[in-house]
Amino acid sequence: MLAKLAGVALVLGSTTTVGWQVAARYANRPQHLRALQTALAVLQTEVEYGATPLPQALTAAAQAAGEPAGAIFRAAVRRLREGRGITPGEALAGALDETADGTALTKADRSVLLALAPALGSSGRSDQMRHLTLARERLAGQEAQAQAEQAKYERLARYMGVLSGAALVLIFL
Amino acid sequence: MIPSGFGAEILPLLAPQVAGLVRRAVRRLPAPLEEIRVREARPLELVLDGADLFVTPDGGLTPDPAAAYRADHDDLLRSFQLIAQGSVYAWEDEVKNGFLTVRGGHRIGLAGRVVTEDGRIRTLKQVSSLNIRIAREVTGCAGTLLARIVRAGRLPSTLIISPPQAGKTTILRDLVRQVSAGAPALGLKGAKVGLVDERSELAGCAAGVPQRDVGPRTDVLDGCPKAEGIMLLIRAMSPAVIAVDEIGRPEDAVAVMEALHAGVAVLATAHGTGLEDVSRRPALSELIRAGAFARAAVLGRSRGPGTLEQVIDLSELREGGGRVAG
Repeated sequence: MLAKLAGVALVLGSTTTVGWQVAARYANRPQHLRALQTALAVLQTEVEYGATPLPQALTAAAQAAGEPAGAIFRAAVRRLREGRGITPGEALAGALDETADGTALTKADRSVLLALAPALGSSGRSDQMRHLTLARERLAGQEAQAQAEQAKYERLARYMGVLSGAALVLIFL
Repeated sequence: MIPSGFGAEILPLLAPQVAGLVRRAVRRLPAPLEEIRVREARPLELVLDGADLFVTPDGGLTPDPAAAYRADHDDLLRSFQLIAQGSVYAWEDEVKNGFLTVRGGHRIGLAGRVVTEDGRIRTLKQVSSLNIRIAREVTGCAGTLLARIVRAGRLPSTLIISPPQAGKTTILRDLVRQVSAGAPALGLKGAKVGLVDERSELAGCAAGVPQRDVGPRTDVLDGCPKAEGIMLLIRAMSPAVIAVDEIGRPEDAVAVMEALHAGVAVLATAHGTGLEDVSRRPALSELIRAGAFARAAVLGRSRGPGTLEQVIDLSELREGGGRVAG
């Protein structure tokens, strides 16, 4: 009997945890997308008004983004400073590979930054403005979609966790 | 021969592929390296004193362009991004003017596809040619010139006339250093020097701090338009001497006259092969006629860069007859 009870607790506990984790991804994604937009807005200001060199501008963007989205930009700065002849675009792409798993960003979200990467720092001010504005607009689109998904699936994921656990328990009991 | 600062200042500007080849090729050069020319789909070229050689795909040297390594699009793109420190937008004005100056005072010339707006250059798109001109610092190279222009412990205003690549900037930098430090042998006391360094070439400033030795009493206005810079220095820094590179525009002439009226000696350079040549340019001829410069020094390459070909005493020239002191 005791073993049975422990089994029930274990099954329920683990499915609930999975449900909560899935829900947390739905809840975090809009936040992380907003943080990215803030970061790009800061980057845009630094580029437009300060003509700040990219490593400093990216550092400012990382600070504005906070955690965990800021880690992407910090990793890009680190890669740029290490040198070895890489371009800012490669630094950002590499940084995304390295750090994006720590965020709730989906593949589609990352692709916005990957599309921005080759243009990053490679042209004059007005051109940079265009690319950064475009990336922010696309991120805003992703955010709207993420919010809709959050409204639809966040609670559902939690219930599904608990309920699928309960279903398993019923089946095996 | 490898120029000083080559590994730290020059090689990091080039795409890894090109940098590797240049690093190997430079060791075999018979004379000091002056320029590295990278052109898309064309042979990689090294220019030395009075000669040029191409770099082979294995890092050797060859006079035959057909046997040379050809830089590809990625080499150019990458090198340009490295030169601009990944921040092309921060160098907009420089790109528009076709060159930028990097740490160490080296100057990078750019060419490629130009984007125009109302008939003026707006920016360069697709940079397809890079010319890395390596700044030289030859301490003491202006010694001869200084001895020839100083009279009775006084430094007269001097125009240095020189064709490109004859060491005009190098000589002016050393002149500034010596005037600033003083030359006891000539009875010249150290003087406050104001240096307007429009292209960051003379002092090679990084974040406003001179990377090259321009003397202990020198204030540098980095990246400042010449005419405005001269006026600012007169107002703000009470210099005894003002030095500027490559004057020639009408507003430069006005500013130089202003400096002279304020009792400041002016050391300036101009592109040209001789006094007659520069006198054909309106702003310069006006300055020479007005007696702005007491001396003109003509540089050439007859015995290598920085050869002092001639010193002309303009004050006597004006009084009639003229005397060529050289």
